[in-house]
Amino acid sequence: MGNLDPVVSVSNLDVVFNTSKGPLQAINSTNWSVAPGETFVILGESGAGKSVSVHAVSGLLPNTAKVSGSIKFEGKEILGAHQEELRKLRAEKIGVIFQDPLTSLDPCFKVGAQIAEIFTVHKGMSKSDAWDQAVNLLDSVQIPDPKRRADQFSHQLSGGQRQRVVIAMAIALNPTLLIADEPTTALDASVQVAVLELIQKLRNDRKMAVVLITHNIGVAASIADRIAIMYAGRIVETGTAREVLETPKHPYTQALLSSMPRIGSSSAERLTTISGTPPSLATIPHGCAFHPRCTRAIEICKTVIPTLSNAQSANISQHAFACHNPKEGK
Amino acid sequence: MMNMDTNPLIEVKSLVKDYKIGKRSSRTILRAVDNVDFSIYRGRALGVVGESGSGKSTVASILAKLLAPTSGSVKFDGVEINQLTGIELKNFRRRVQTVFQDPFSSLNPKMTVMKSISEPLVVHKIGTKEERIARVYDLLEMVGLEASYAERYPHQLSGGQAQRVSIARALALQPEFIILDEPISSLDLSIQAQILNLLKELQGKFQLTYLFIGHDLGTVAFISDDICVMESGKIVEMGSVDEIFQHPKHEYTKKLLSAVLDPTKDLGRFLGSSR
Amino acid sequence: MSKTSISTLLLGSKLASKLPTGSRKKRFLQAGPISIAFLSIAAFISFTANFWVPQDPGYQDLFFRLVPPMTDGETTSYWLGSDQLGRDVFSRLIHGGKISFAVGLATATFAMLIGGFLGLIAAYFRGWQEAIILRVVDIQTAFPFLIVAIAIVSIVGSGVVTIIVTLVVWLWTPFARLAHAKSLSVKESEFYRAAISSGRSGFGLVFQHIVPNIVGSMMVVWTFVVAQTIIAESSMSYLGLGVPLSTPTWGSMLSEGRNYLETAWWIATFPAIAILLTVLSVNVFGDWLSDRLDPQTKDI
Repeated sequence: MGNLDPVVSVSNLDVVFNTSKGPLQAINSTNWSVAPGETFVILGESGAGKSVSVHAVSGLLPNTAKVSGSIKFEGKEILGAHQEELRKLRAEKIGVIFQDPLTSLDPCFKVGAQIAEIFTVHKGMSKSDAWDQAVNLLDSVQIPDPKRRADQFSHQLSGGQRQRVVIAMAIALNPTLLIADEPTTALDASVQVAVLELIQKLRNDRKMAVVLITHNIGVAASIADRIAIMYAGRIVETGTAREVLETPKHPYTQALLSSMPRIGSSSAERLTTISGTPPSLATIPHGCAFHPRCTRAIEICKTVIPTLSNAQSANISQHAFACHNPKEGK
Repeated sequence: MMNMDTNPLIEVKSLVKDYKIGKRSSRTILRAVDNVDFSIYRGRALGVVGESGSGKSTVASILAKLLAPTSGSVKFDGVEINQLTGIELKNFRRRVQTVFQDPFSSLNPKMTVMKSISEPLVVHKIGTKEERIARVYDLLEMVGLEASYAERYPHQLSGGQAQRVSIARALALQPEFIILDEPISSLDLSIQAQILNLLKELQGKFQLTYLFIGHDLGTVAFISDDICVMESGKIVEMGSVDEIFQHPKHEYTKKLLSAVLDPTKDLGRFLGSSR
Repeated sequence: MSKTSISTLLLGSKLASKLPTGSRKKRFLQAGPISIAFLSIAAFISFTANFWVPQDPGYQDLFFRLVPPMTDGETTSYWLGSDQLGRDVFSRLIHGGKISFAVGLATATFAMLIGGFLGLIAAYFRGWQEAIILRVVDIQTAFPFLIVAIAIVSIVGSGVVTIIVTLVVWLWTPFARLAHAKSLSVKESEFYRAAISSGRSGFGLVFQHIVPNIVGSMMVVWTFVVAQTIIAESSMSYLGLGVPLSTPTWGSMLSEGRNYLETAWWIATFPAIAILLTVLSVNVFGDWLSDRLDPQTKDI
């Protein structure tokens, strides 16, 4: 696993949105990479920059976004690539699934037709072959009675089934990378488990790398090899799931973990909370963006932006965090 | 007149809500709430969990008298709410309040925070204008918002702030019973914890009774004394928080519990064989 | 909580890229106040016409018929020329504006009040009120306006009041539909339910919650209806269905000038320009108003 080129490798990525209020920096100097077959989870609250990060990779950012830095896909630089090239990449090598399965599917076409279209357009298959492939695909995403379902429209399927269809479309051409942007947020808990299991199965069967975005710590814990915690457009901590969740070093990560109500923990009177609110992109504090809410903030935090320790270029494989005053010990 | 501790504050029996769906020729009945029974004693918090389609929001709407049931009995403080009219109804609306899920659509976009929070006071003709203004500032302080927020409009608030305003509005009339329908589901994680703490604190301070609807067992467990699990319109299991979590009896409850992803216990649950 | 799906990103960027950024935006937004200024001045000029126009619009001086613009005559200077009966085009233009503005404002306002009221009733009560009102709206929308206009004029006779009544009968329907749709969406919102939960009922709900939230869109439609009315009035007068020929209106001036386009182009051209500028201004105003009233685009 460590010998091969990472599937995605992002260095010094900056994304600035050109808005009528002036430039808004959504992402600031982030570095991360994903090895083949690995599941990388980006965890954070809203406005942290998680979606923007992956959309930069898939080339799906709007025209108002200015992207700089380096994005390498399978060793090759894709930042600044032509739209045509990116489109091809998105079709064949990168599969993307979004949060809301309802809007990801076209309500006017049968589910099978939408999947089949991928094969007719990209593989030049005949309509009937493509349809058969579509049915096979529905089967591989564990939709029962796939032949009948292929003939139905999206509104006839449940939320979980729709998401499976979306997943089917994303993996149809056997991509090396699957990007999942909050894939289970809109789903019921039990369906969420089923979808995560499905992603696990597909990843193992097809040896795909997965980049999954979520704001749910439980989801991150259950499916990640490695996790990156984002806050206000920067990665503040990254490492293996175990490292980040069991021995978090950044105060934000620690606070996030302890503010989560858990079943079974003694019925506490209060949850430990983080005071204040996540900053909007327009009003990011100077120095460390988290300092106004941090219980461990010191003078330097107000002026100097902490950098990710242990991180040099794209090959981040150690537990790294960006803090001037981390808690020592466990 | 009011027996404080021996009779439940809210008593629901055989509650049914049917919807007619489909075209005239092929009308079917959708039973959203199917013979639901439960009671809530004063000062307690009942959590209702279930997935989409379970009927929990419908139950909340019925209890809030925003929706009429098809049949069954809902008693508030011993009085059947279905039969309330006139002054008694207005009284009910004083004593029972609601907080909804979407913080932004819960506030009239054309009203300032001050106007939104004082509306219940205006409707019930409580206090003079100055007294109402003072009360609004008190309420803002109670929910942790600065006085300057009074002049803001909803679009100038964050999700957490807007939800605090909704809570302040719900407290304005000093209600006894608050129905909370997924009040934190739309909020960021760190804000959820703040609002949960706030709700718990307020309950203690004002001896409120809560009906808390949620889909996340962890948050529901934090705020509730008792939990009732709903599936397809029915209550499948009900008991204290400890009973439900430590000795779940019904299959569905167990299924819900196993679907909870805990960062410690479920670490690597879906990592699978390729590792 | 944040909807960061690509559809929203793309939509947001589409909207953002359509709205001019930076200096282009400033110019775009200034068009709003400019249109307001233009309309206010034009309306003021028209309504005070009696006080200051150089000549009685009906005064005919056959000796000076069909003189081109900037000709000096006996009684007055014909700044915009004179028509086939020697009447001063400029004076007629100003007086004509009076009719256009009056008809436009009156029609749109009555249509909004009537249509808005009915639409709200339909949405608030639902049931048979809604069924009837919406059905009437549908049926009426299917009728071509001109036939309605001719029918009414033939019954009532021509005149300013006729035009206003006809146009109100025609134009109340878009208001009704809009009021109905928006009122329904307010009724479904959580703040409406919260208001009920607080004890609000009846009038309180309507005036505190429904009306303030539908007024904005209604006003925007109002501006567009004003524009439509001005054009419609012109058409009606042009066809002889409107005010009597002696009263100058932009439409009748257009109609009369039609025959002289080659020889005395000024008779029809100036009213045409007046209509164009006014309608354009009203539309720009409507766009500006709609941006201003939507809290999300307001602060951009």
